[in-house]
Formats: sequence, structure tokens, C-alpha cells
Amino acid sequence: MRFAFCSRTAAAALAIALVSWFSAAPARADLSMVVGPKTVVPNEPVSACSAKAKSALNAVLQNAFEAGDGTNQWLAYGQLDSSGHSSETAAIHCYPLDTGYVVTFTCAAQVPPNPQTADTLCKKLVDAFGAQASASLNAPVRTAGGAPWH
Amino acid sequence: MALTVRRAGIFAAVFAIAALACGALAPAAVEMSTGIRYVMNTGTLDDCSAKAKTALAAYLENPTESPAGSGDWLATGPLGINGPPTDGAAVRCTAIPKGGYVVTFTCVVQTPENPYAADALCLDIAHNFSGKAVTPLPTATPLPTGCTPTSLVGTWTSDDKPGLSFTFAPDGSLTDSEGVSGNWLLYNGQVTFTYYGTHMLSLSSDGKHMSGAGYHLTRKC
Repeated sequence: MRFAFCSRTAAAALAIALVSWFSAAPARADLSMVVGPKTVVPNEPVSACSAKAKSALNAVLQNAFEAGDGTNQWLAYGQLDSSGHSSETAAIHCYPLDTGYVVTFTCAAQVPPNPQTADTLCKKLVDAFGAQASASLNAPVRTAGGAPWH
Repeated sequence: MALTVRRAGIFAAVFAIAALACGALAPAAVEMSTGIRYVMNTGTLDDCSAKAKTALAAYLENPTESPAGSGDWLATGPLGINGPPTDGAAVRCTAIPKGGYVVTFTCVVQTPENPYAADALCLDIAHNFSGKAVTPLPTATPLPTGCTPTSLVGTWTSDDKPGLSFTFAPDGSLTDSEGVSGNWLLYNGQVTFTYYGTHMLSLSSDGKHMSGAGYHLTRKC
């Protein structure tokens, strides 16, 4: 009887310890903003950039929309939580340049609760857009002043 | 066999309760504003960069170009905030080969903490850039001190563990009397207390006491 009680107590303590260990992420929500790459894509119309921007945002986030018809500036948010809020967002801007266009990526996330950082978000968007194979004006994704703001 | 099933049940129940207790995080939201874009037929990338830095510095802290010479500027704020940033903005300049430059403005705020909306921030930064009239933004409310139900900043002592006290800092960190550090977050009277695990505590309506998860703390006012 005593042994059984001790076993149960030990099991419960172990469970609490395990959960505490795995849930010990910082409670403070950090807002981070990342300026992603700026890429020039030659010999392609800006409408192609817009189409890819919308597609990439919908693939990584959801419900992409243009910030004003014909602006070629696209924006999307991540999944909404139970209170109707999102903790990640991104913008892709396209602008015609010579025979092609320039495209930029800008991302933001609040971690926690968002499971991925703004940096990761921007990298996924770049991959989804397919811009990594094109000539780049800037270095790849970077964060202001290093990792999340403090 | 039955005992094993019961033990497994107890284990699962305890695990679920502990997970529920630890999994409650305050609601958070980000709001982005984008769409303002200027196309200038004259001027250089350096001109754009200079204006971008000035415009960002008017509302946010430490505008930084990354990498140097790229024309991409980023800053966080609000200006004069004491604690983690709750907003940020990116001003990105691109030279046009035939002359001039194009510049875009993107802003992000964390709600409900930030004192103004992303649209208001972006509009002011863009207007500052272009020399138009700006609308003053609400200033960040200084973090309250003393016994207030809206902040935990200050010194807390344990009611039942003599000698144990905590210093809650404005940036959301805390340190106990032995130098052990943790974090805190207050939302709607509920405290997420990260200290040897994450615990949920309740703050009393007068802001003087918080308790839960085996902790009973009183603030020095």
C-alpha cells in the first residue's frame, strides 16, 4: 500500500517535472521584425512578382491581400488564435525595375506564442517565392541588431 | 494489471493538469501596416538613406542600416520606452537605374501594448521622410510603479518562505534574493510566473498580493 502510494507520488512528481521542463519557455512575448532580402529579377513582368508574392504568402501564412489594388504590395497574417488575433505577419513588395522587378520581404513575429521566429518566416517566404535563385542585391535574411529585440 | 491502468490514468491526469496549468499564455497580436511607397525621379540612394534614418529616429530608437549601403533601414521603439520594444518599422530604399529611387514603408506594432496603431506610425514616418505635416503620436505611458494592478514592477516578498524575495524589473525579468532569475508577464490580473518552471498566479485587485501554484507573494509599497 505504502509502496503503491509512493509509486503514484513519484509518477506524479515526475510528470510535473517533465511538463515544467518542457514548458519552461520564457513567458515574455518578444516582438521581432526582420528585413528580408531585396532581390532583382530580370526579364519578368511585375505582374509575375505579384502572383508569386500572393502565392508565397498564402502558402506560408494565409489570406494574402494587396495593400491597394495594383500597388503590387502584398500582406498576410498567420493563423488566428481563439481571440481572433495573429502573432505573425509579412509583407512582400514588388516594383518594376528596367525589364524586370525588385522584390523585398519584411516579416514580424511575436514569440511566444508564435512557434516560429520572424527570421524563419522570412526564409520560408523566400523559398516559397523562389527568389533565392535570382540575383540578389543584399545579403540573405537578417535581423535588426541580431536576434529578437531587447 | 488494474493497478497499472490506474497508475497510468493518474499519470495522464496529472500530466494533463500540469500541461493546462503551464500552457496558458497571454493573448498576443501583431499588426502590420504597409502600402505607402514614394517614387522619386531625382536623388540618390544616399539621399534616401539619410531621410530614412532621420524619419525613423523621430519615432523609434537606433535606426540601423543592414547591411551598410543597402538602403534598408530598421528601427524599434517606441521612443524612450523602458522595456521590450512594442513596435518597429522598416524603410527600404532602392535606386532606380535611370535616376532617383523608390522607397517603401512597413510598420509593425504589438497590441494591445503599443500606444498607437501601425498605420499611424507608418503615416508619420512617411510624412517625416517627405517633409509633410505629421500628427503627433501618443507617447508611451511610463510603466506604473508601486501597488498597482497594471504592473508587477517592484519588490515582492514571500509570505511563507522567510527571506525569499523577488525583484520584478520593467523589462519582464525577475530575480530572487539569491540571484536566481526568471520572467513575468501580467495580463488581465493573471500572472505568468516563470521561475523553476512556468506557473500561473492571480494578482489581487489592489495589486498588493499574488498567489497560486504554491506561491504567496506580497509587494512592498
